[in-house]
Amino acid sequence: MFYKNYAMSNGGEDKLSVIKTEKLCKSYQVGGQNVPILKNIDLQVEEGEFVSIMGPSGCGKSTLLYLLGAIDEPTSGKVFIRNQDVNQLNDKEKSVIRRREIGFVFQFYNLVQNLTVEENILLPVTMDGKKVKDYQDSLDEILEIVGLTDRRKFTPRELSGGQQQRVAIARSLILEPSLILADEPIGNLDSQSGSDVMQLFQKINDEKGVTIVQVTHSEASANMGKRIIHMLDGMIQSDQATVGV
Amino acid sequence: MKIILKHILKNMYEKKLRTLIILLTILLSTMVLFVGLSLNEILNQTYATMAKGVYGDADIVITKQADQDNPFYQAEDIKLKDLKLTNRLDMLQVRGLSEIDGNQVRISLIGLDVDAGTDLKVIEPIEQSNDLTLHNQEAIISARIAEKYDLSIGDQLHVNINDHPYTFKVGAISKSTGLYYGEMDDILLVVNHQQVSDLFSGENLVTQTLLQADQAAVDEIFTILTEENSHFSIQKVSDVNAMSRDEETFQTAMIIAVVIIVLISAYVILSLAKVIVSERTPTIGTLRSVGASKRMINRILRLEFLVYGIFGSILGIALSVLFLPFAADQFNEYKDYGMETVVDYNFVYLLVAFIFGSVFPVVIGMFHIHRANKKPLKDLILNTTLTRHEHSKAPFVIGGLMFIAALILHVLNTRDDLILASGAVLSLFISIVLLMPWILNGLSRCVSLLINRLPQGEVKLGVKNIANNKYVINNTSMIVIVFLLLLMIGVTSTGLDQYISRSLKQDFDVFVGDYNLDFSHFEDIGTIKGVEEVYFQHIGATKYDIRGDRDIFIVYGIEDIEAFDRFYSGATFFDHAKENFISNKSGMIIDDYQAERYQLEVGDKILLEPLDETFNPVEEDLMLELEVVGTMDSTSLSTNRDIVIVPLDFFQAHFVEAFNQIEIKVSDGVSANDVKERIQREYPSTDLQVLTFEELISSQAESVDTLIQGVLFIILLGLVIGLLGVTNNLLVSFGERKQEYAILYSVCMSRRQLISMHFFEMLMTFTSVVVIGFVGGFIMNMVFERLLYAVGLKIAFQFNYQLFFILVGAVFILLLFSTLSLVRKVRQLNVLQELRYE
Repeated sequence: MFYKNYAMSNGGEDKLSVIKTEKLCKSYQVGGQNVPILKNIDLQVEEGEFVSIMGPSGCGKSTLLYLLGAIDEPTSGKVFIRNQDVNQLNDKEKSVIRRREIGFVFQFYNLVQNLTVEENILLPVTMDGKKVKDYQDSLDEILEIVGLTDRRKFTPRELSGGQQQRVAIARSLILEPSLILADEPIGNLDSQSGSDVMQLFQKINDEKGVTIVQVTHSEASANMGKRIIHMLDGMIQSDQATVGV
Repeated sequence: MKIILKHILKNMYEKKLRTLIILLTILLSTMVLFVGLSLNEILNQTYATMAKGVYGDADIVITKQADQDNPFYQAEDIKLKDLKLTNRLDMLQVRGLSEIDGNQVRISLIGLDVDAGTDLKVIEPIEQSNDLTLHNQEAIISARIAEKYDLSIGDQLHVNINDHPYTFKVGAISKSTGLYYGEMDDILLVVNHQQVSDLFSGENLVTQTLLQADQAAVDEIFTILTEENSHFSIQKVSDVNAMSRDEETFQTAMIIAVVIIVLISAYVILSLAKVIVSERTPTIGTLRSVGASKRMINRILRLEFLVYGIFGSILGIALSVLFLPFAADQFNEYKDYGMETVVDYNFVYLLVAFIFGSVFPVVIGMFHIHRANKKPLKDLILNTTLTRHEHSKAPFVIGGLMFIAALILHVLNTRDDLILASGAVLSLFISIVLLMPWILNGLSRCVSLLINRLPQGEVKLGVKNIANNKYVINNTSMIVIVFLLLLMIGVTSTGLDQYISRSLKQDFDVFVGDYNLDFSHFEDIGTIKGVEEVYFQHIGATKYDIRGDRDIFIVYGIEDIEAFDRFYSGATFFDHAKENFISNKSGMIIDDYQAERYQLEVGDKILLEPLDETFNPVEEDLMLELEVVGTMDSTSLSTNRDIVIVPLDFFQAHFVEAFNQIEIKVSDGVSANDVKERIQREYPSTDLQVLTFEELISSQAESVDTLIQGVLFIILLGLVIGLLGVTNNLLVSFGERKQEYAILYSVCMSRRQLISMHFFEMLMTFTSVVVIGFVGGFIMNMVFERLLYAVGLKIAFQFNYQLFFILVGAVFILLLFSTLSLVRKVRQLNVLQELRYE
């Protein structure tokens, strides 16, 4: 089995906090004016959770996601990943976290167009300085999970949108991160492909205990998770468990 | 890393045109650098081989001393003692005239022992009649002459020597090596020694002796011979100097050409690097999002440029190796005389060129690589890079400061210092590059004001885009920079063209010169038929010290300055220079260029250290203080403008007459060539140089012509690189702007309006090139001229209007084609595909 089972790593009731934010704020300077995007966000995500963040356009949900992934830097406040304040880290240390602790899935897949499916999936391995041949078994298994074994030698140009997104998900899993952050993962897909992708997320979350935080406009895909956070005007409006689907 | 390398190679393959341009740029830079570094050494080696090759395998050359009345001697006059020699060859030379194919040709007749000559390899017969003994008026000619005049074994040559006719039969044809290396415009006939002796009433005379010895003993033999034979000039063949060539001018022109090609290449690669890095932005974002650090990204991008560099430099080296013999042949002035170019591949130069070619694109690309990595990660991942150019203040401030620095360095550089001049040129170039967006912004605003009232929005947008759109700015900047660089090469080539042919005025018809020429042997030269006027010019050399600056002046010793002024009508004396010179027995007149350079005035004193013919001090610590009494323009005497004039008495008391010359004006209607030949007959010393004025400047003009050809070739290369870079930019920018066009079309513009907008962008680009090219070109010309002065080309460099208009025409055609190709692309643009949906 290629993936350590995070669901079993911690007893059941006393779960480890994977992400925690303290008074997280983000604002931009636009034409001399200070425009607040996020206002004092306090958030905690436990291990094994499947969280969906929803809200109208401009509410700051994607901004929050990028702050959680250490891709953006807050104006004030803190982001902890496994109790580590990520904004105290230098670029190299952040990149290690992005490789090993987090897997990011984007709306527009962000694959390298002239690499094959398996080469795209193995990119984090390459960046981590590890030997690709040590991950062949993991690669085979992930390809099996995402259903792309037959297409491993294809390039993204030869795949459908849904297939490309599955490659992106596979890439996010190769180094067995404990957390996956997904920004509108099905925003660019037809309903069937979107449904397939969400089921894949659910499977990863249920069977492997990987914590998933996604930003989505879709109620249906939000309900496939276990917790929904509603945002409005840069603040958390509500945070509740989902009704079982 | 294999994945990354594969990604890089795929990138290169996918963008074939751009890859081709970058590889070609690196290839040409590498090639030009290697060839430029190698050529000078190859030519020196070739000419040295030629100079030494005249003596075959001989180790020592003996002739009578130049100050001896009679160049002839008997073989036994040379005291050899018991020296062990491998070979000895005595030669007797005499000159004559012949007529071949209706043309009068000079003949050099050399008598020697054929067997000894063949042993020493001064002659190498390749075709001969039976047993070659050279009896019965037989002669050996070179293969070159045989081919030139279609001569073969048995053909006859009629030669007139000292007004007596002789007939020689071609007995053998030799390789055009050995003695025949010295066969320039004349025909060399090698005959039996006795035949030439018979011309001197049978006396067994010699004019030159060659000796061959055991290599280990050469030095000792040389020393003994020198001690025992004071009336003879004894020289080791290994010390023989190669023919003089204007090495400094050649090297200077090569360096300037190489630097300019490198600058053009740097700018093209810089511009393409910007596009490459911009294209890589999504990939950079992806890699950063999966955990690549900034340092890793830097390494990956540098690796891509290194791959370009290695491929390009390998191709460049391969091409250089093939091209070098051809290039060297072009510069070998003596190729037509049978001198094969000695091409030696210097491994160090190969390595330098290879390393340069490999690392060059990495260094150039670093700027954009670091800049890209500095962008916020989120912008990289989401690829929110704008097409709008952000006018950062830093380049403006730095560019402005560099511009001021360039002008300050130029003004301060009164002594034509090379470092200050180079600094001024570089600062100016960098300032133009940095200020370009701001200049374009200014031009755009001016034109916008003029067309403000026009209703056509696409016109206004086209005009504004030259200031706001980074692709348009990039294209325009590249065209302007390449334009300016090519203009500078044009200035250099025009200057070289003027260097010899227009600067030196013909004040005389025949020149007679030699090292340490003793005028007492030429007192009756004025009685030779056809000689109208003779001027005996006393010339030496001195090192000067002016406020710590040291270099060499050529010193003329003048007895009668009025006579000098009359004879050399090209020289001009200013103010009361002549009167002051007459009244001051230890005064000197210097060139006004030097006076300006060192801020010298009448009454200032400078120190001079007399030098001998080898440019070494005559006496240690001997320094003379002379007072400046006036200035002159000595361009017609020497383009280096390094001549100073002192009274003859003072000159003879303190300086060595190492470079004396006799200049002769011939009578009206008399051929300078005839007078020259009479002089050669009257003074048959083989060391004496007797040349007509045309011959004197033609050899220099020939080498300059070859140099100009080389420089023009460099211009062509630069044009190719620049055009390819500009073409690629224009092609790429359309690809990058497709979304921009699609958005404009979808919200407000028709396709015709898009084309019109682009047309006005091109018009603004053209206007910018003309305006900036003209103004920038003038300023560059002014600053560049000082650099050329600093490297020895001290003539007025004019702005090359012809080249300016040719380049303007080329730019116009380029932009026209670009606009026409865009018409088709805009018509075919798939708007829906380019618009991005969320």
